Amino acid sequence: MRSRTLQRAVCALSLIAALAAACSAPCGPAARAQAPAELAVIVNKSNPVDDLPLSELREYFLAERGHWPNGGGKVRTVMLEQGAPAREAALRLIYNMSEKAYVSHFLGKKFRGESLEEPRQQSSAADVIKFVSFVPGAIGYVRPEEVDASVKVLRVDGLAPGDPGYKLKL
Amino acid sequence: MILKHSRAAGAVLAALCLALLPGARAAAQDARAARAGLSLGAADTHASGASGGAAARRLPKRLVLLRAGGGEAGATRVTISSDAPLDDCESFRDGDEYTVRIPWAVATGAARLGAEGQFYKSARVEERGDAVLVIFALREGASARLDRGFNRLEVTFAGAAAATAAPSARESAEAETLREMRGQIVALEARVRELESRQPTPSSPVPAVAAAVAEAEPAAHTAGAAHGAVGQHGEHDAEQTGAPRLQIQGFADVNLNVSSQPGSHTSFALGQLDLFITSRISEKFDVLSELIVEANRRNEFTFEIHRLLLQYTPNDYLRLGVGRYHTAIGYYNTAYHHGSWFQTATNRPFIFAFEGKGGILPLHNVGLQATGRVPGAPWGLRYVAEVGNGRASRSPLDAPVQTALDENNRKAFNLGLSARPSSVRGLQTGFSVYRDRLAPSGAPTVSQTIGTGYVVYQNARYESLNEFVMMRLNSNGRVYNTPAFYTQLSRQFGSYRPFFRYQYVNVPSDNPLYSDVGRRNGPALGVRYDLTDFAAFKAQYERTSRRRQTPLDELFLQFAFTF
Repeated sequence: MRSRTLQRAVCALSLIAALAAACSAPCGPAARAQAPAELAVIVNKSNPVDDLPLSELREYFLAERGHWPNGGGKVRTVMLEQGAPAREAALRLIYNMSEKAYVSHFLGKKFRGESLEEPRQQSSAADVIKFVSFVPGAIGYVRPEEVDASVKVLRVDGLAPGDPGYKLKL
Repeated sequence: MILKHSRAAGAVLAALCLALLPGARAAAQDARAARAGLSLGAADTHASGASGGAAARRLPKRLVLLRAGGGEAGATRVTISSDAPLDDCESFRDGDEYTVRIPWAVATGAARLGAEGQFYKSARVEERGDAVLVIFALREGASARLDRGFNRLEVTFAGAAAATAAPSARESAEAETLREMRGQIVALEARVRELESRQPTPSSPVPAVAAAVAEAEPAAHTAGAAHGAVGQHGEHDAEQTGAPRLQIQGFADVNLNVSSQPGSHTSFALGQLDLFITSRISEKFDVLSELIVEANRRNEFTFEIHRLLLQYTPNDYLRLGVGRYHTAIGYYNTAYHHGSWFQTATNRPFIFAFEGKGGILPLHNVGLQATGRVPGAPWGLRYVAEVGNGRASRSPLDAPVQTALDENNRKAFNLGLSARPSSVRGLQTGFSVYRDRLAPSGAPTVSQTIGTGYVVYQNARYESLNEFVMMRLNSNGRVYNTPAFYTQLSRQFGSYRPFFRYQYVNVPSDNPLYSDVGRRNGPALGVRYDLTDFAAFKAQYERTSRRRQTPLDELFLQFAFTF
């Protein structure tokens, strides 16, 4: 009797899995803008940091580090909205994560009580630059050609955007 | 008018100075040039007359502005103005050309003359030596005369032969001037806006920044609304003013359980409804809490505050918390805890089962907690130190977590170290030691030591969780060891994540506190399927061997989600 129940449950499970697979048929590929060739990491001009190793830069973006060194204050990460090519590039080059993993990562950090800070999201590079230029602990990314004089571009592993060997390059 | 008088007075003074200076034999033109230079500013006066005509020629030249304008009916006019007197100018006609000569000058605005006028076919400006020549090629029958003002000349043209194209030419010249001016205005307005936007008001920098942030924030919104977690950051901004706001994230699961346990029935079961609440109350203080509602085996809902922690975080090296927290024993307890959506499997390894569900570890504690990075240490080394009430001795009558009252004065301590080397993304390893003294009623006190160690590797594709726990109880000099471990492996294939887990717990039969648990070991096999980014379906088969009992076969189906 009990084994029959188990059999039925397994059948039900198979059916559910099949239905779920059918529901998950991928949609057609959405038209996407071309990803930027490079990313420039920008910080507030008052930030004394000029150069960061890529591994350390990742820690700031991943909220593994929540404060700038030498009393530099809280780190305020700013991201572009989902779907922006530069965001996709950042997820790939800096976070090394998918969109889903990114969301899960920050939800997990929060759930574990490690950090309540979540990256701000801005709709355009101009907004990212504006935010970074006004918020002392802010860090974000834009295309190199979008940078203006109101923010500071960080060197990554000693290299600036455009330098040979710059790592935040697709 | 006042300006004109002052310049005239300056010129007279300059003339007197020149006359008094010995050897001053400069030509009248040079003297006028010197006067003009003096009129530009007192700073130049020392140069004038110091050494006669040669010095006078070093004075700045007059700046001559040229502008075509209208005039009385049948005439047209070109105005020549300067920043210095123009009473030394001369004019002459040579054939069709009418020339105005302005000595010791430079010209600007020649373009505004226009290529032609009503009475002249063309106009050009030439600089010959130190003089500016304005040359008009007159139309047939046209004439011109020069009227002198103090610093202004007017060339007035007249004649019967008005060119037919002239009005349109004049209009086009004026239109061109207007376009040019409009362009300059637009450029100036843009420049002003740019300067205003970049320079906060010096007298009130903070509001300026706050305003800018506030302006930036509306766009900073809610990918989280679509995204759950990452979106609702605006509410947590330190820059934001006003009272703290709650952020609530929900976790829940619905299950179907089938078990070979005698007396059990195949049942749908509502899992835990976990309301995870956070709030930033200042730059360095925040609160997080978990409120759990769940149904017990009597189908009655119970409500419990599983976590309530006030945290103070001055920097990366220290975060102090006070309240009820998840004990930092091992990895699983703090990484997943009540959030079933986070975990791959449907249930927790038995060694990390909750206290109220037969678990033997003190997974919740009430007291103080300190965590942070170890300053200067490599591999992302972090520490944790906790002191709290610990858990109650196992008794059916006691609540296991001593939330309000400890059964003795001895406190539980927990110390741990963990490493997350950035060079190996996804790797985390650590250990902890927990000590407490338990006081079961009617029995000798029991000294408890729990050591844990773990090695975890997780990335988007692979998951490997490995933990080992050793619980040591000492009662009346007798030691009871309880070893436990589990290992869990999984790999992501698209939306599917099949997993395998093997777990082992062995509580000695004569253990003074947990002998009912006995030995449990066996595999679990299952798959997690992500329906969306925030909802998953899981299926798990588990077989558990037990000491002196028949093996237990169980099937768990679960929908887990966050919202």
